[in-house]
Amino acid sequence: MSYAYLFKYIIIGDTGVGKSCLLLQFTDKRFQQVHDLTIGVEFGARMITIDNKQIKLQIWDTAGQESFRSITRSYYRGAAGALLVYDITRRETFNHLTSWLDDARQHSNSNMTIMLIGNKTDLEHRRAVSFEEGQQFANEHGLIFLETSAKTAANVEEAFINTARRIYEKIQQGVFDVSNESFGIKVGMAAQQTGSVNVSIQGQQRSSSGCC
Amino acid sequence: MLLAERQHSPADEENCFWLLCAIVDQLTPDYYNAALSGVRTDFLVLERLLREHPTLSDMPAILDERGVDISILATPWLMVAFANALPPVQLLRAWDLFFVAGSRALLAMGLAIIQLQAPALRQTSSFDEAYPLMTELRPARYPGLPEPNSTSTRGKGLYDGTFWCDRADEVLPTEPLLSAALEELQRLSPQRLEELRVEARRAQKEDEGPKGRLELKAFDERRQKLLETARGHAATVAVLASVGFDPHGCPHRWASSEACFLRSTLRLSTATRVGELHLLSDDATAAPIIGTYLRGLKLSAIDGLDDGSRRRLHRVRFRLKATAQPVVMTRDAAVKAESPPRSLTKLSPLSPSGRLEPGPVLWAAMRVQAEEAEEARLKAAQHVSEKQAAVIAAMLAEAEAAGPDSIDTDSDPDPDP
Repeated sequence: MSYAYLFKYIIIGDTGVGKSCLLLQFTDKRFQQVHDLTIGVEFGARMITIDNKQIKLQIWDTAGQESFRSITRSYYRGAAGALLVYDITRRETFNHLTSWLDDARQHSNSNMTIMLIGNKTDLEHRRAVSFEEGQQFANEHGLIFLETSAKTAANVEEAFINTARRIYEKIQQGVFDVSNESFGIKVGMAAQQTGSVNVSIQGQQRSSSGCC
Repeated sequence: MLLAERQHSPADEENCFWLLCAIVDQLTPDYYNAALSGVRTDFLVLERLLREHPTLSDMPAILDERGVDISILATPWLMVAFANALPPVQLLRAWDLFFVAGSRALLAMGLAIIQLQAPALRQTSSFDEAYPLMTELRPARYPGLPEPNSTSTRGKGLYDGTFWCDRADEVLPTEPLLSAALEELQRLSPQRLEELRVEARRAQKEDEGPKGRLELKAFDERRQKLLETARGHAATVAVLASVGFDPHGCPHRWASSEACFLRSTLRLSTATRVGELHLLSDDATAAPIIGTYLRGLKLSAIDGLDDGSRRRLHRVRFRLKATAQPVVMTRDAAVKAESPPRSLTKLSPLSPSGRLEPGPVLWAAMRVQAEEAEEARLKAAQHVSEKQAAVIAAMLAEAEAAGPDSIDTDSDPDPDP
């Protein structure tokens, strides 16, 4: 299917916070109760529409276990957006956010859009991190913030789509050189056809000549 | 683990445990330690192998351009041994090779996949096209798979229960894939792989900055010292043997003279000695020698060790226990055997049904492996005997010049020759 833009996302955060479940809910609209460890990285993709443009999200769902961090660090390269996830019922996953954020800032391009997500709002009775704390952390570090539930699907769409919208706005403002794929953005054929976005000629040539 | 899940009897569980030990300790080098250092080493090796490959040298650039970092292949290929990538029949053949040749087979299988997919890969223009060509080599639809149209790569794995379905469908043709894998396996000798790994590890350590470089230096120094000590003892043992000292008559029934000198080299009296033992146990040729050594070791000697040393020692013992069910056959056994040896029957998940016994490809691989091992053994033996003869001659000449009383016949000699 043709798209105007392709955005690369990466989902990061401690093990067991629900990164894979968020992805599964977003791509397949279902919830998996069993915790099935991600090994290295898994991939998902979905088409969304923003401002009447088809945007393809290519999502890299990474392993949260400490061991994998030496490997997953290389996956930040060329990501346009990151979902940084913690579990509102486990305080320590919130405490580790700084270390994840350091990793993300250090290994990604500086314009990467980061969304902070407090997951598992369906477990309100076991909440250990308040909404306000999450919001404050996000404000302090310049992140967008949402609380979600991968189980009930609450805010899951919004999490992915709001991030995409923010990236799209940045493109409109000319923050990115979209011909440079290291920003995690690729211009598709659809953008070229409508011609409504001021994208660089170089980027168009690349995507058309590279195609078989 | 696989077996334990399939057959819930206590005996199988034990086999599974030892199989797991063999995979973690014997077949893969540090793939599953805390830093996954072996995996990181091996994807550097894989990239290097591609760059130096006669027909695939353009691949690293092609993959990089499509955003496929080689490190992404590390998990679907190396860490889970293709479990989620290949269809059942091909997967079991890949595992056969894996149990015969260890992690070398994983790299060979990876190269074979790229080899067969190279024409298609060169035609791709994006990550989405290129990545599945290497990691999703099973038919898209499997009976029983809950969401056949899922856009996520998750849930298409071994765990979903569809793995065991009896389907012969395949994306890549089996025979060419396995021949290519065997060819790669033969091209990549264990020695060459070890060289590449050492280089990759050094590069990694260098990248880690001052701390890594210090570690590297310490490691080199330790190894050098150990080698010198061992050489000194070899010479001493040679002299002892020349004057009629029988190493086989040692109180602990050492199986060889090497074990005898190792007894004095690697006395387990201090923690550092255990460290050295561990260092040596990484060296494939040293394993049998240390095995002999440990079997003769009295438990009382371990009592004085600190926890760290004891843990290291247990790791060595685990390795040895896992080796006790040999996966590699001798050449004679491979030639004579009409049916798979017991150890292999046990290791092959589907052999009870009789449908998927090791096929001709595996047998060929085992023969090649056994012959290589035999050749290496003969070469090593010749090398040692030549060296020993020279050392003995030199020492005897020296001893003769110094007079008849100077030859030390103490069974626990000084390290210096």
